[in-house]
Amino acid sequence: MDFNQQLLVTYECVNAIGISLDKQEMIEHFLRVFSKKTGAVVSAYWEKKDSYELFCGQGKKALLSKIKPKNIEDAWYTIINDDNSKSLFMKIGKGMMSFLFVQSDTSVELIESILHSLYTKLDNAIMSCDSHKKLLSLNQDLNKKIEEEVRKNREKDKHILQQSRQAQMGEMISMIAHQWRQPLSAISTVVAGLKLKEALGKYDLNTKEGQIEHKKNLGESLNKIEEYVRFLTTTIDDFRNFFKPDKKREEVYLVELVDKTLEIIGKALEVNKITVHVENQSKVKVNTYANEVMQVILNVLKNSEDVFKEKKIENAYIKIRIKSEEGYEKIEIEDNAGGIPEDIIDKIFEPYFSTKQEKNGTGLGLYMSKTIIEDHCGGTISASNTGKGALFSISLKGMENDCIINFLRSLSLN
Amino acid sequence: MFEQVLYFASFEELQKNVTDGRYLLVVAEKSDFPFEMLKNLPPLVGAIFPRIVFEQQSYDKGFILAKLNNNTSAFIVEEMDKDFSAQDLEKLNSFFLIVDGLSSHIGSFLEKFFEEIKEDAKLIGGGAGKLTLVQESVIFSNHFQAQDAAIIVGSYDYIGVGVKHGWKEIQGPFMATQTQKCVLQKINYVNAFDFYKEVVEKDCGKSLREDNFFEIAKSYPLGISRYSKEPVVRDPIMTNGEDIILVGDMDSSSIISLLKGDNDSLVDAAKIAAKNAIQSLEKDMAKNAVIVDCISRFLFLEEDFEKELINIKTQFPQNSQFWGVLTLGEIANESKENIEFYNKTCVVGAL
Repeated sequence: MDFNQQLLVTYECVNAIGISLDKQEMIEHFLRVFSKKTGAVVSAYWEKKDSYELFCGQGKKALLSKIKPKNIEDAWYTIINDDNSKSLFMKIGKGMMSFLFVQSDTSVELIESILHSLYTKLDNAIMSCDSHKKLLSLNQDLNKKIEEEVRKNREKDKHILQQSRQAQMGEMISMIAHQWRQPLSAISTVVAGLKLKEALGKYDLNTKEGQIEHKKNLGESLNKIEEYVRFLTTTIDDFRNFFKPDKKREEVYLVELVDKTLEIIGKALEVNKITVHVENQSKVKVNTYANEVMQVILNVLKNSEDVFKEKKIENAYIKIRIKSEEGYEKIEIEDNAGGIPEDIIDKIFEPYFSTKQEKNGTGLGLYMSKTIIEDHCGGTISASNTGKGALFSISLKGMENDCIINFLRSLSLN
Repeated sequence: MFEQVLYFASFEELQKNVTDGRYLLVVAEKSDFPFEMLKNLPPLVGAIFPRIVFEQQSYDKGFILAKLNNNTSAFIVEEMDKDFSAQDLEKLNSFFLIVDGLSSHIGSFLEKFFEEIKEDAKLIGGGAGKLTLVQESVIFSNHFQAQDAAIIVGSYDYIGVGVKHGWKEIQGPFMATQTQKCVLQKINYVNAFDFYKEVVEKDCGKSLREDNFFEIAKSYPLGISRYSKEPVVRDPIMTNGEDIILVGDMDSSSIISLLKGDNDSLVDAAKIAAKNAIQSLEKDMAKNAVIVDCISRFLFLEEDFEKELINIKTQFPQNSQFWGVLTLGEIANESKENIEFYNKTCVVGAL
């Protein structure tokens, strides 16, 4: 017997252990190398369920029946078959490994000693494969849970968006009502004037002068009505455009967005005796989604209006400043409505947080505003108190910065 | 397995003498072989080998036509890398197996085949191909030629098998630290060619280069260690200056050694293989002595190869017919061990 050869074969078999974390691949490789090196005619790994079932095998299938484990509880045992071949069984992992040899008793004893020497490593490798499989299964469960939560969150976001849209629609209708009240009233006044003059017979249509004066008055009244109707049409267009979500960014001055927003909400503020001051110190455009930024400005102004109305504040004002600061264009909206209580100022941008729950507040306006400015437009929005009231600050990247960077880049390239 | 075996020097001669039946046709590499004429012959399968053996002569031209007896059938596996099924494979007692000797799928094919055969089935066989070592369509039937293919001749007859090579370990053990099927990339963590060159040059005293690699390497095969058995020989046939191409696969982490042989030990080994074949045939006397011997043994032994043939022939009864093929790799299984694809080995079948 050659101990050196035994050592080399052991070394090669040990090297065949643990080549993969896939249990079948790992055991098949081990059985293949072990059988080739030791001359086992067939080898297999069986897993215990009700009885032992084949997990994987190597060699002649016709001989598998000779190495199928019996329900013997011994960790190691050998059976001598009728043809003098020897079946060797070794309990390992959660199963049984078995081999068939046709060598002499001494050789089989030595092969058994090789198996003893690598038993612990093989057992650990099989357990590692089992643990790896469990870990994979856990990971899969976790992935499923994450996917489910992500899906639920998406549903929630959709729901929030829907609620926000509905709330905005309600506010818009209220603003349209304010916007239209004055021109509708003016039209009504013009029509009433016409009717009154007609009833009083102010114009003597039998005379040429009377006819000319009547025609002149009618013409002037119709022109006025036409002008008011045009205003109404413009207002509707403004509102309709406002509700179209922007697909493309555009280059605009922030003051333009402030002006357009005031065209929508201005009348309502005026009716509630809220003075609006706009101060523009910026000459730099921003590249952004215009309608969406306008929604944010509108939301901040509407919040101020609500607080003014609630607190019935005299000499109410809103100051809007547009300025450039370190490459960013800023809109600051400041009011004198008393400010935001310090204990809630950190929460006002959270979804479903509202101070006007009993007055149909959805708690979504500022949350949506933050989402629009920070996630969609790449800017920042913050709120603070000034002592007299609240100050909202919206900051977007100015285009001047890009121009300078592009210019510097072009210089360095040249 | 075979009821009549005839040698023909030319295809014309074969055509004239062939009778009805089913045949295995083995063709020597340099034969004038008009493949398209096969469709006019009785059903056959066949293969091209570097040389063929008939009685005590080996030939690089010529044809051996072996008629299958009624206990025997033959078919072709057209793609060795695909699963295959064959009728009664698990009932047959013996096989003569021919594979494309330069296919990279030999190892996995043999393992699949071995799994399916009967408990005590025995087999011999070898790798077909040409000495150019360029893979070609060397497996054929009457109607098609294929590469990466195999021929399975299976029989209910019993056969005896003997295997021996006679190569002795002169240096080692080493470890094949990186391999890719039949490409040996690293030995003991360095480029296989550099390592092999160093150990071979020490023994032969000649400079080993890419251009004389085959000539020198034929005397220094590698052996893969096995427990209580002769090492399995792997024949290094080519190099690119870094890797060594072997005939047959080698697993990564295999323990290997450098082998060397002399003419006497090889010729004696052939005699032992023949004896073992005769002794392992339990029923009937052998009618055919079939040799599957490695072509590189022929190249190594040169004139002494005839002694090897005589040594084998003399172990068999006078009236037995002696024939065979010189192959690119040999296959044998005596049913008492795992199947192996050998190189530089003499396999003798008593059929």
